[in-house]
Amino acid sequence: MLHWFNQKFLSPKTFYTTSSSLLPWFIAAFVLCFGYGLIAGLFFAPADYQQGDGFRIIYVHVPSAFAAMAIYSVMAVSAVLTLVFRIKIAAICMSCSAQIGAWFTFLALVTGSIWGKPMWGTWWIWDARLTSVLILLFLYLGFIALQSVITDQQNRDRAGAIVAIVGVINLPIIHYSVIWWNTLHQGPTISQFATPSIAPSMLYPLLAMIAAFLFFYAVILILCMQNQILLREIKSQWTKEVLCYDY
Amino acid sequence: MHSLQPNKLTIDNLAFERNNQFLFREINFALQAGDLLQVRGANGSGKSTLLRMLAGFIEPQGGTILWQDKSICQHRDAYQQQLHYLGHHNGIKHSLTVYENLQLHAALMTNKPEPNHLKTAIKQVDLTHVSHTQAIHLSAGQLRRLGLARLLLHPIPLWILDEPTTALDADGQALLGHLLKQHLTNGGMAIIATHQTLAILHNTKTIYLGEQHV
Amino acid sequence: MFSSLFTIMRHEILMTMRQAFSWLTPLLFFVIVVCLFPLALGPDTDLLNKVAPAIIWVAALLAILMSIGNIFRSDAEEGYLDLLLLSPVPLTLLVLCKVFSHWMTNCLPLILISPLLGLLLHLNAHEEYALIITLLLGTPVLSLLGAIGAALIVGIRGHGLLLPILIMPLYIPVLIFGTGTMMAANANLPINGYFAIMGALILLSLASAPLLTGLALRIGVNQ
Repeated sequence: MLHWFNQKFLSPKTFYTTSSSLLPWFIAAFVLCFGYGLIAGLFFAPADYQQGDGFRIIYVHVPSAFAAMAIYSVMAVSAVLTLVFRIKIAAICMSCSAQIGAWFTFLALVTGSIWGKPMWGTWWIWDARLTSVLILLFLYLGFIALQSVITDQQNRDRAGAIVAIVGVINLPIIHYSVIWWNTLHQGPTISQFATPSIAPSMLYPLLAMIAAFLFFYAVILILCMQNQILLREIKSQWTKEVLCYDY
Repeated sequence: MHSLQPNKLTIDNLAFERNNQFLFREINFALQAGDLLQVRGANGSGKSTLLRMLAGFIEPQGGTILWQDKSICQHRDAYQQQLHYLGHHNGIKHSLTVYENLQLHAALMTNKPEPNHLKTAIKQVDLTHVSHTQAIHLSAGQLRRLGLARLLLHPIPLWILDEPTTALDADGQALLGHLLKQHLTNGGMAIIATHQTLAILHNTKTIYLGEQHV
Repeated sequence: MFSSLFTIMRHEILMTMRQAFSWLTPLLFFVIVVCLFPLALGPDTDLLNKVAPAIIWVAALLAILMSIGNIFRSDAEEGYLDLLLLSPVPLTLLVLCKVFSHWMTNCLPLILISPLLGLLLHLNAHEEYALIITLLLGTPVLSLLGAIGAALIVGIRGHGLLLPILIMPLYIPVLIFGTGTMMAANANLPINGYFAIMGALILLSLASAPLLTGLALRIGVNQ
């Protein structure tokens, strides 16, 4: 029965057609959120008391870090679905998400570093958050590296799924051990920029940017997955029709 | 052998593809006690893949494999205890001696490795004189004989042998023929991949791979 | 069943002992790397004492990483991995067998020689005690997690540095807690709590790693 469900609702073809119709909505949502977030964040949110206008990089840094974590969760769930239920589109989602997630992680690190220069006077600081994000980047890169070396498609999916699951099990452990490591070495000084309360005029654009980044992820994910589906199902009749139709 | 119902292996419409190319498809056969199946085909025609699929290492992408009318995909562990697999590499650890290798293999089959039992197996494949030599010093033919010795440790119904004649000299091939005949007469089954003609034994079926290449 | 496992373990250790370089090399690597640091840092006693936990732990980690990548390699090449999968003995137990044998032959020598290296880096008795116990508790985790990586790359030819890339992030908690414990010992703070945490890491690894390694082996055997 599960097999039937898999075939009927989760087949690559169904996903392709469904996602094609959803794509314009995601694009529209992205444009709206991004537009509002950017304009409100850059022009209308008041300058920070301590940092002045420099804090505005938060509107790129926090959403990318958030997206990086969220995408890893999506990868982990897809990995479980791939390994346990053998769902093909879950495997495709996992592979595509990894590449997107790695870029977001890199963006988070770079923007964090740019933020750090005026904030802490240095391009890099080994605080708990940045270190965790760096380790997250390594987890992503390890996954991508392994997948790039395995030639057989099915093996690639399943081996990648194992790496993703191992990573997600270890992620909380790594995160808390890094926090503990940080307090051990830094003492009571709070070196992280952590405002317990944030003004609504700053917060709403931030939330909008987070949503925008997630919609962007959805758009790119759908495009990437559609590509992968066409590549994998290249021998099927429906892919031939789709490709001919486009031309 | 030693089971209540007669052993039966049924293959139905088996197919396997790799990287968008079918290696083989529409493979059908049924084996019963005393049957020998020869899988023939040129190099690269998928013989090893088929044998590994029959040993339960690879999942078929189409069709079913039934042992005692039960799908092996669902009863993999039970099925794999009913078969011996001898591949290109003999499963021999090179830094152990012949005797130690068989001890290890017996332990893997969870048999108590009684010394007499092991010595009998070594004698049957004519390796007594190198019984305490490290496998790394053995010739390819001797390694293959050691691989065959493993099959003799414990009576198991299904033998899956991938090109067992490789590296065997005339004596070795005669030995293989003798062991096979013994096994089949005792009610066992065997599936053998070979690219040359084996001495045809009673109850031999043959399938050819390669003509079915897509 | 247990006599089988015992036989298998005995043979694993026998095989490793026969190939002396397989366990000697990581040990020598460990010693050499630790000795490189005083050459790089200078002979200042206080400095060496302060960075000793980091040096010894990182060197041990690298040494183990060097050796664990190959635990399944020869098995795959010799067709022995097929026999492991076909065996009625549960794969998780077989994996545990192999990892334990690896730990005994590769990690135990490191633990035994570590007090000597601690002397070279001017550790006092209490710190040496912390060193031995943390290595004792940490190296099993490194072996177990490394086995997962080794199983994932078992069929891949020319894997190069893929194993460290895969496994390093997983090693970070062990590294942090191992060195943290030793630094606490340096400051004469209570360390039994840290031992408990490392014990928890072992239990977590024991519960998850053999299973995941088995899964990875089933995939890898077909490459």
